[in-house]
Amino acid sequence: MRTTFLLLCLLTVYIAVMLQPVFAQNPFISEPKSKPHNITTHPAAKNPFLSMIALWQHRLNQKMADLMREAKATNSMRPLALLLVVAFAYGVIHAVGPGHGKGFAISYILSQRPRLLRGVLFGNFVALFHGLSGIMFVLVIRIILQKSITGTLEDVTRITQIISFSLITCLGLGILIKSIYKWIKSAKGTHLACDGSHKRHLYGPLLSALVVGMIPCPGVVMIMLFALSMELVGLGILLGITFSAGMALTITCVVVMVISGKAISLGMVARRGSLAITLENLIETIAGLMVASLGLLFLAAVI
Amino acid sequence: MSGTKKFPQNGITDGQIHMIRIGKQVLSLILFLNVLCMGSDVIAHPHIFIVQRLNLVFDDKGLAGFWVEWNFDEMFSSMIATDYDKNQNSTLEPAEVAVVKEKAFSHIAGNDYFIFVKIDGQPFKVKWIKDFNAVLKNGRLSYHFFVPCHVKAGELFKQIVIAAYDPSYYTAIFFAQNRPALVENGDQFVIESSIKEDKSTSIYFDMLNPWALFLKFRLKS
Repeated sequence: MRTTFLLLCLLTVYIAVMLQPVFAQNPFISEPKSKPHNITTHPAAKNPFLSMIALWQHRLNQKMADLMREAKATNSMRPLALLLVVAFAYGVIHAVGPGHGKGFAISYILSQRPRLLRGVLFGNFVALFHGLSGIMFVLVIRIILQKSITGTLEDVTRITQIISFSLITCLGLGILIKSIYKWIKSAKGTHLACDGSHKRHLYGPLLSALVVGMIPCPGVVMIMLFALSMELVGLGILLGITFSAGMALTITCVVVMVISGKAISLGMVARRGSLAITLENLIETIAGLMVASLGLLFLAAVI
Repeated sequence: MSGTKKFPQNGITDGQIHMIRIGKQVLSLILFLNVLCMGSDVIAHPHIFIVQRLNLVFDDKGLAGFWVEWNFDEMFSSMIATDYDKNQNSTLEPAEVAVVKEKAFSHIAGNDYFIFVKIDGQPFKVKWIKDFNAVLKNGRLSYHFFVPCHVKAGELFKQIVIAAYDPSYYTAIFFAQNRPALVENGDQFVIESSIKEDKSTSIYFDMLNPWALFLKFRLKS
């Protein structure tokens, strides 16, 4: 028990150190803010995985552009199948890199006890909302309002970030308060049942996913704009959705890993019923704290 | 066997089983940590891709500076073209270039124009650039600008390291595979160069070493 507690404390400290609020907006079109850039002059282990992701994204981005041009030039749907595969792969790889609300999604999942299906739905919704908001953004700004994208993207991103992070903070605080209430109740002697009646579900995966995924994905915005520049709105929407489906796969994999990881850990102590309950409550408290802290930190970074 | 410690059939003691259990817990937590780190909310990963070429310009005394050519990916290019190619003729006229410079380039001045130079190991801050131009050709946007950087040549080698990167990693900058760097007016000097990762510099939470041009030059004896 003491070991588990110690490990969880270490986990919290580690996460607190790791999660630093850095929001890089398009550096070419946004006003420079304070410099949060992490440049050091000491040697560090390079991350070939991250370099590889960037290189592959570059290749897929280029391939998509080439195929879209081909579709436009030949006026045929022949490259469509390959284009969809490329867009999907681009989405998968794009979401492997840092960001896209995975940290929030993980923290939130850790704080709940979702069934696998609900977790999968949650992961998919996060990605789909992230992509759909990008599609909607371009359609509204370019086609309906006919405004410039570059300035508006920054404004819209900032506004959605403020709304999203505020709601995430509230969500985290809600989880935290609920969890603290449970500790107090438990300390007063009202033991929580460990016979399965103590259930925690993932309430409102759709709404929670909307909160996390409402910020427009710049990747989708760029695909849409490129399609629009060639007057291929329908194709742009299709590719945006396919790209989002690719991101959904990655985010869902991460969510499934977290659910499985949590289940394995709790399964190890399942025979010791009270320990399992305590451990789960502890995870919920820490995760609630994380969700709230992340929301606050990121909110502070964008305001 | 009364009085002796009880061993399970497989020969592992209770203490060892407990240790294995703790080990499993630690492994599970490591799994969590990895997943969490992978998903840490650093909202920046390359969304813009640049293929870069450098053109090193020498004068009588030594290095005078270098031209930077950035070729953007088509998606970012179309974003800029949509907003700033006002007459939509697929080329950027001087007035449009001036707007591009103001709205889609000058913001990076605070980040040393993404050009980080070291002269004999000492940082050289790129405070200004000159002769900026933006070209839109076949739907592809490219930026061209000159970075003044005077380094006098001597009998001994001077070492210059030129790295180009976006510290926030919103932009990924790659050296072109074909002619990544050229030298102009370098006949009076012995010049050696290579392009490799600068392992003395780490960016983006120490996860990446930027690619850089390593240049050495001295007077011909």
